[in-house]
Amino acid sequence: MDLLSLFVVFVKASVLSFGGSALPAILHNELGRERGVLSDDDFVASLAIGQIAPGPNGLMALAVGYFVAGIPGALVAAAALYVVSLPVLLLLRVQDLLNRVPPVNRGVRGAQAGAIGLTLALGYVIAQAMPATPLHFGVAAAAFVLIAFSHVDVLWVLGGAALVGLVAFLGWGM
Amino acid sequence: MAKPAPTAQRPGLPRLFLTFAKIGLLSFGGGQTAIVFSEQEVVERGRWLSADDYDRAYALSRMYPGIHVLAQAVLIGYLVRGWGGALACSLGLLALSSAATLALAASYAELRANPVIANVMDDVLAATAGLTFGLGVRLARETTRHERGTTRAITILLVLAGFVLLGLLRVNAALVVLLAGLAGVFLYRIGGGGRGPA
Repeated sequence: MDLLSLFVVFVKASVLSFGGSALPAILHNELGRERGVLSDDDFVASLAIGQIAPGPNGLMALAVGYFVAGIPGALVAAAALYVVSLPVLLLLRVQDLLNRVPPVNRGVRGAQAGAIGLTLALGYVIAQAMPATPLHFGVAAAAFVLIAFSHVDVLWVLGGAALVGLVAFLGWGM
Repeated sequence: MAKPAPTAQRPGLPRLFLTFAKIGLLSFGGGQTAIVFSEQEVVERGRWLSADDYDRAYALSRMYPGIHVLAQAVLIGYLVRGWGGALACSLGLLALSSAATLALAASYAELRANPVIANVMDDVLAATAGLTFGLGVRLARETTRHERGTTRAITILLVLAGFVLLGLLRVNAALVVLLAGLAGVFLYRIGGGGRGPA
């Protein structure tokens, strides 16, 4: 896959994602399901990297770019995210205007609601990729409850999961 | 449109770049941490922006596509120091965090070959699945919190439609977002408008 098409995919995914929640879903869809240049394993690895690495989780796109096309792929992803972010300054100018155009307002709300649905679908995709053991389902369920119904920091949840993995491994090792 | 801050309080571009590089590098666990950090640096410590201008940048970045934190860095930088500030803040935010992400991606295969790390990663993955579902539920709840009656039902319907179309029917994800936007234009009209996106 050439870098220009890759750039276009990243721009498209970024433009259509609100707050990064739909970004991974669109990337998986376009590069994995439709073009077959991103394996499920690499996709899931990118998600994990996005969670573990510092900075916005949307930077998982850089890992996707890297797995598809090496360093140039990652640079293309970074450029796309960047190019999409700059025109936000236009919003400063048209803010008052936009608020007076109800259809635009309603369209943005609809797109945001749809993007939340994509987030749920993504959870479903990841759940299918993880090892299907009671332990892993337990960890997933605990993470779900903590994030959905409490204000525990994401970092604690991931750290806790890592600790469970470590303890489970050492337990089996004995 | 708001003017940049008075000259006396304006930090130099290198300062803006470094501050946002720090925010990017120290914000683990995604955007929420970065937002808390940037509020502390920009409003409380730096006094580069008024709380009002900061809130405006926050709200605008929320209704803008792409990575919210990045869009917010662009807006904050612009309000503090014009175009140069916008570039300094956004590039700063990306510089170190991108390098860290890339380093992790490049070493992933080797890390994965280590059985201890592989085991830990599998559990992190399981947590990520749960987190993602949880995030979806939380976003849906926050979005519908101030909605009532028909409007709330429409939002829930669009969320569920997004899940079913992508997750179960495998419709193109980009198309799903566009369709949801289009549906919103018509459906929310029935709901009587209500509140705009925060």
